[in-house]
Amino acid sequence: MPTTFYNKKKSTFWGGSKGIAKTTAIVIAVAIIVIGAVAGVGIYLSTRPKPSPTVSAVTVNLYDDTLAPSEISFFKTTLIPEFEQEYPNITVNLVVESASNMVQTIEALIQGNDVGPSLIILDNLVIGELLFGNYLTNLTPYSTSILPSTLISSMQSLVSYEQKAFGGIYFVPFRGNIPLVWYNKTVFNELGISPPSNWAQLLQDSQMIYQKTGVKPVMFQGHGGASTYTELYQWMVQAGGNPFLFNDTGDVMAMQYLYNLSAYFAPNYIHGYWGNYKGLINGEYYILDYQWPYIYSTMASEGVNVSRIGFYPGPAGPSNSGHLVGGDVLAIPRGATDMPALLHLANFLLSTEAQHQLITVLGEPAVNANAYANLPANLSELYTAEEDAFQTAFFREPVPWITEWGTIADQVFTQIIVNHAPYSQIPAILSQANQQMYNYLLSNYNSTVAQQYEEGYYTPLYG
Amino acid sequence: MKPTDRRDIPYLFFVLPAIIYVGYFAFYPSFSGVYRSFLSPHGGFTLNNYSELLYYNLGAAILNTVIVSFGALIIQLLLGLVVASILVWEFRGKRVFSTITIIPMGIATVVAAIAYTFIFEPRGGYANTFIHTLGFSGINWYSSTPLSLLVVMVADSWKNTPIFTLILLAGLSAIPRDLYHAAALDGAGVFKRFVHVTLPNMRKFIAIALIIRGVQEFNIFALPLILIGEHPPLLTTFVYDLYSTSPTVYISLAAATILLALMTIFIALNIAVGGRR
Amino acid sequence: MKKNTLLWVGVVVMTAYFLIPLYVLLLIAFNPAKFTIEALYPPPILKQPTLNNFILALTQYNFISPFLRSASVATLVGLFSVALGIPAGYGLGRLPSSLAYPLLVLVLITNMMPGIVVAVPISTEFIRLHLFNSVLGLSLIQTLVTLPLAIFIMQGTFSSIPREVEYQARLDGGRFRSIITRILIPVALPGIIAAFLISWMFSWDEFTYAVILSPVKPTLPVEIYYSITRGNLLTGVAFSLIFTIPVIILTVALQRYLKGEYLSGGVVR
Repeated sequence: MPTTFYNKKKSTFWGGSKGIAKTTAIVIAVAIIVIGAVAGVGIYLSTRPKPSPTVSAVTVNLYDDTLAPSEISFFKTTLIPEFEQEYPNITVNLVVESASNMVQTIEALIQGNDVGPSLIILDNLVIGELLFGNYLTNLTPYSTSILPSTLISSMQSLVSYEQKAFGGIYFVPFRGNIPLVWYNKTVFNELGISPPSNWAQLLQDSQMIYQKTGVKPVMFQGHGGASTYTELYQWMVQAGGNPFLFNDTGDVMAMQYLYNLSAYFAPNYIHGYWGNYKGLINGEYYILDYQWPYIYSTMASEGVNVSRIGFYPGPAGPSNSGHLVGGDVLAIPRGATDMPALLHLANFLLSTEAQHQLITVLGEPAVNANAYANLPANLSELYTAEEDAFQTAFFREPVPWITEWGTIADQVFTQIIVNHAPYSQIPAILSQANQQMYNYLLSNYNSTVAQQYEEGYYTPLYG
Repeated sequence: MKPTDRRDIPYLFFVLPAIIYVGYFAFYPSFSGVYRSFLSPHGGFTLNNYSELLYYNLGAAILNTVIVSFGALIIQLLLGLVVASILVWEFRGKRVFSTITIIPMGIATVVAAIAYTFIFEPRGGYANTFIHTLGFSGINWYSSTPLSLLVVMVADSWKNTPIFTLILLAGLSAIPRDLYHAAALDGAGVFKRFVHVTLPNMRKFIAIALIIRGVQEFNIFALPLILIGEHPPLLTTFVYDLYSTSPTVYISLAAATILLALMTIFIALNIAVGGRR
Repeated sequence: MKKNTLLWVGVVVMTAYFLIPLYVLLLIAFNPAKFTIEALYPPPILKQPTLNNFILALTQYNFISPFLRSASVATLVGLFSVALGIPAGYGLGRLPSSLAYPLLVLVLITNMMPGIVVAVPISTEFIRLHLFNSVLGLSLIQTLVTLPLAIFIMQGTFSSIPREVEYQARLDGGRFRSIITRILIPVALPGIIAAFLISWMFSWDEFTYAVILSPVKPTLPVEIYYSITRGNLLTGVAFSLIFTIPVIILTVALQRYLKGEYLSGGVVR
């Protein structure tokens, strides 16, 4: 096999052939420019507001945070067309982005005086950032036309809390979300155990499963960010603690317990977040503590045999079995135009018909109590579990510094669980977190807020 | 006044548009960002933002960034040398091979990251399938910080070795053959010829490749974001994390300033060690 | 001969190294889900290849808008980079090293500004100028990433054109403008095309600025990232493959222009 030692022609390291000729390259470049220009013109033309042939044709921008693919598809193919049929003059443009991105987008639009007809569906906690930044329209004058008279009780409490704490209604509940614990029925049956009813049993069962099967069975939302600190919040409440403080007895107990439980966390827990459920199907883990109920219909739509997946409100904590109510609220950004169209859309989203579909198609808890009538048999089981969980519902108080708390909570999780600090250091780490939060409030707000924080003034809200 | 000065002025005007663009879009925001990192939300000067960073384990982020950058550079340098050395020769199928070696440069970072998340998984995944068939139990690729960083280094090197290859190849092709003949006549074997003939002549090219790629290495963002998320933290994902969750953006600007400082040190080191040019 | 086997071992190993991730992508795109994401130890071969993943991805999710957006942004970026790079490269190519070198270092430094440091203040500016979430705004910023390389390439190209060519043309009575169009540009055309196409490719790939400055109407890499974070891995992979095809074609077709001399900016001759 002849290998010449060195090819004296400097410019040919491609072995003698020169690639393509210059003219071809020019043709390619021109082709790209033409395609790009066409695309650009196309985008420009399609995003220009169309002149309305009839009076008051409006395109409403509906912002929704972090929808799963099945949810997006349902909105686009079913829910929105239903609305547009009822109101032919209104078109709805669905914009999906993560909660924190949406906050930035809305703030950007308001500062640029560019809001237009916009309605937002946002996490019931992150809404606090927009609320305290004064970016929301006061909805009190419209509340009677939007709010259904049949809100479920925990949501009614939320609305009352709003009026008390903020002096008005700035957001209305749209859909509730409450986490459940999911487990692999087949494995549990084979091992002859029933799903754990309290923390002690959870630890015991996990240990046993690991010893018998060699699989670390527990999945936790440990990726970091909102998923993790939301989950930590619930665990701390169930131990009787005030999560904001980080270092009261309940909080310390919760972190110590999780430290012990983490010995049985599935290795992929460091990537766990609200989107994980596949591991339950492929045997990567056996108990998913916890996950939001949307996965039930997602799994069903993917053809998974859901009869081998069990779910229930989950093991009770040492103090209570409180369940964190997540979910989204509707709000209207300050400076939005075309109020009548927005109100129509809000009204529609909260109507019995729409809310009923939230349950039947997406498996999400509706806030309109009437929507729960006439549920199909397979869903009623899911609904029963959710209703059970709602009995012990609580809300996180939407303070403006919640994401700062979350970042610190994340740090605590990393130090204690992921990096496995020594068990004896847990109280010290938590106290440091408390100090960090205090300092932050002191320098970014004032000493009153910091003092109130330290005294436990900000607590979970019970429905 | 040097005789060439007056004739050079028109050429300076040509460079002006680019300088203005860069000034407005790069320097102005950067200085503004650095300046704001020293401000408190109430408007006064403060070092608070930096001290808060210490709580969030800034040290680990810095250390990890340095480790990943240097590790990846070393891998790319070695692999680049290997491929460039192969490409200096002529052999059948060389054109196909050289095309293959350059393809990763065209694959989007996001796409490469996705491929590598499927290869390296905590349990399962294609790498573990391979290990499994060899009879060993799978490795949890994210079980410790060094291992996670290694995954990032490997994935990043895959995408960026082609640039090293191209630059090093230009250098290799420029070495006159007579030097090798002379060295062979003096009795030097393959390895000795490599160390005493190849490497010294390649110094300039290696230095340039290291600077260009090194600076980009400190900045990698999409790849670690997708592969390892925010544990273990790199400075870029660290900044992004603070930017997207903290109500005040000043803390993330402080972290970004530190990243900028780190890169400046790296460039200065490189210029000093590599000699001017 | 020992040299031969060493060479062939190297070729085989490096080929495998470069091709494996692409092969994995193909597997995930064409294998049904139960052999990929739903399997703990996915088989490394094609089993029951299907087009289902692609069909699902393209019909259920919006591929066209991000694709068109990426295309228009990339083209604008290519044009901006060339528009700024040609004069800058020409000037730097003709200046003596003592002046050119510091300016080149300046350009190099801009390449190292972290995306966040630039993006945050710029986003507030853009909001004021109504450029947030717009094709034009994103193109302006992405040029920052591609400009240094474009300038490097143009500088290398122009400095290899001897000055005598210009002087001769001027002596022959040519006006400055026609010198540029009749002589300089045609000779520099390969470099110009290389700069345009490389800038196009880099913009096509760009993620950091796109995710911060155009989150609502994403370009394709950002859309792929969103798919992945929403748990929709198969769609992400399907989009990735389609997204990669133009770039592979470009890379292969343009090997001639991706030379080391261009990439090191003709600084080392």
